[in-house]
Amino acid sequence: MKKLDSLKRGIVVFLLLGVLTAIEYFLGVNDVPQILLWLIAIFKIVLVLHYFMHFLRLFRKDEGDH
Amino acid sequence: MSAINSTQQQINQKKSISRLGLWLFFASDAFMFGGLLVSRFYLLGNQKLELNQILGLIVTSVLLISSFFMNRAEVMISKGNTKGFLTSLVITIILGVGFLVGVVGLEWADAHFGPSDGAQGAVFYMMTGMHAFHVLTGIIFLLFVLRIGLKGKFTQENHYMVEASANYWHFVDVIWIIFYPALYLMGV
Repeated sequence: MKKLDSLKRGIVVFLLLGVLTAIEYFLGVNDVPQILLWLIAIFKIVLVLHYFMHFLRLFRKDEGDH
Repeated sequence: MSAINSTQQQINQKKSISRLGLWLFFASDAFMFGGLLVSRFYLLGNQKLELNQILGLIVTSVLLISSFFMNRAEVMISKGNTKGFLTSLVITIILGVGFLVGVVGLEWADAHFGPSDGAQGAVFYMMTGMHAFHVLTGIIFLLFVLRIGLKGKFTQENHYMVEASANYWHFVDVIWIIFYPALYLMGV
């Protein structure tokens, strides 16, 4: 994922989030165990924190915007 | 040359401190949303709220798409593409307004219970209301960024305000990523 251009990376992450949301919806309406919904939600949060919010940038000394 | 390096170092240091402050704000705000999430499970347990599932999926998708465009806006300005930045920012704002209309205008009107109808009313309206308030403040923040952007004041090197507004927008998205299954999908 790091090798991708930042624009393309955004598209890939967005598509992943979309697929996970669709899976989450179908699991939710079919009353599966809640743990699966929690796991998907946590994975989605990690994706947003890492690729959209650039959480690790907080600990970097150099600039490196994208 | 060393004077330029020193100025750049000062700018970077200021930016690092601003980032830390922003993330500390996120942490404190997350505690408030965490309290609301806990109250949902404490008061309702495994009960599923009677909500419009399709509408819930639509508003969630709208917020997700807005997050993508916000990321795109930030990437565009970091590459020096002002036109692309402004276009993506305007799309983000429109989608944000769409989310607000979907939740406050449609979902609240469609719900079979009011804010005073027991625990489920209190939980649902408090969680969605507090989140919608954050979306509203995010839209206002983005409108400020748009105004400054239209004046051409953001550059490839100097655009911390865009980064901060983008992070705030993504934070609001992160909250909804947890609230959406907790309100619409979990329980029986």
